[in-house]
Amino acid sequence: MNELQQIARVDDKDLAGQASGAGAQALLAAIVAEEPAPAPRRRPLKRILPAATATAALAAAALIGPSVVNGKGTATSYASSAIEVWKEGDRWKSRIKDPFADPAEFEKAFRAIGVDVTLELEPASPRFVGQIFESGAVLRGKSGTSFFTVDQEPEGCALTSPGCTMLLSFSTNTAGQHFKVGRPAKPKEAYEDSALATTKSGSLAGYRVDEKTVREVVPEIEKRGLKVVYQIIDPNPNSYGFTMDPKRQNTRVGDDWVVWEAQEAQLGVVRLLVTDKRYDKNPVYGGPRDKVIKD
Amino acid sequence: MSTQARTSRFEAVYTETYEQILGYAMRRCPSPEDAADVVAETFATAWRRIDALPHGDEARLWLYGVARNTLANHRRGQVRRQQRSAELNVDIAELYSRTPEGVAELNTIARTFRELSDDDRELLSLVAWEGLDNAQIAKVMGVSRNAVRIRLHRARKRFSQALASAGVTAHHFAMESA
Repeated sequence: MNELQQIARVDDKDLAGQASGAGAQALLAAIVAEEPAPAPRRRPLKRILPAATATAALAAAALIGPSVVNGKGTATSYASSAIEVWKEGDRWKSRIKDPFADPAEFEKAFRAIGVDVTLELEPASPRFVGQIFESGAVLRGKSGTSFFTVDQEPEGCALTSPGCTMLLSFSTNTAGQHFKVGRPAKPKEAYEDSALATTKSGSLAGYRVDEKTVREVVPEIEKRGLKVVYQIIDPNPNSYGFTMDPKRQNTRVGDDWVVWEAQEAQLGVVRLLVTDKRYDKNPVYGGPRDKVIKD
Repeated sequence: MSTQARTSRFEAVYTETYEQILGYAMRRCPSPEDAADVVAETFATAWRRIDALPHGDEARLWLYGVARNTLANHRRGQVRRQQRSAELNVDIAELYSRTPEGVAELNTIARTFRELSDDDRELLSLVAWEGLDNAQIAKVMGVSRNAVRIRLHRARKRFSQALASAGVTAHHFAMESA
């Protein structure tokens, strides 16, 4: 041990764990919320505006992140490359800057402001982007109200268009909740929802597939530039509805099989619900499709 | 490198080196506010220059170099007071409150050390506090290894003489590279 070490205010060993502390994490979040200088500016102007306004103060501006602190020692605002969160009255508002970010990034943001909320953005068919797929209490202690809304910026824009940003809002007394919300899907990403492809805004709009054969339907679908995948279904023998046996899904689908409905599977791909024989009732609807779907 | 890749890389380097850069700043700054400024500005600079940040242990040495320049600018009053997060202030102030500086302040060795020139003190500190060898110091300071060897030799000599004048027998501390 030398004397110079003894006069040092602190040894690095004494600082173990500091990197994961609130201060270090707040600083990290604030720094990466800014674009690094040489990064190409590919983002739409709207998305970099908040950063650009602050850039005037350069380094100081790089650190504007979670700067306001409430009595509990947690920040009242947070910004990262994935999400911005701030308080407005009795609600938390957040702007999803990167809908494809790791869910851990959203969790980090909510943790920084002291809110026990988890958010998962799932790939969705266009109609389900911005829809709440699932919300509810996480079974781990505290829970609170979950009045949760999804909005668009600019107001009313289509969340599937590039200039449109998703805004989320929930009450400040929300606790112990999780939310799953639809986001635009990347090519080859399966949609989490099972939207009908045959309704007005679907990718087969104007074309009905129910009760037709695979032989009839597939050329019509391919004409529209779409690909087909199948889901082999098993109608419940005594009642409405059907089940799907994962083990049977590799079975080769015959041209004479019957199609009962088409769903959006992923970008440019529809999923046909099929059976190897004809049934009296459409198992998807428990009867004719028209009785259930009014377009 | 995509923005996502830059962010991941920066987060990894930040996590890996935060404690060392914080230690570097705390050992050299009289107040928690100054240390927080140096840490914040060092990492903000690293983020702005992420494409220039070297890989492996050289990232740490590079950051020491940035911290050193930041500290020098700070001493010259050229760094504006950073608008830091309150959490960072609280954490670093708490660390300062744990360190019994009073004892060190009265220590003749500490006083003599503080009276050295900035360059001599920094060289000896990089050896004793950051545990760097000549090659690593050369990277931090952006000079040749030979220059480090010569400057370090002179710094040690001056420190020994100053200690002798203050009535302290020169030990072998900070005389050898770590």
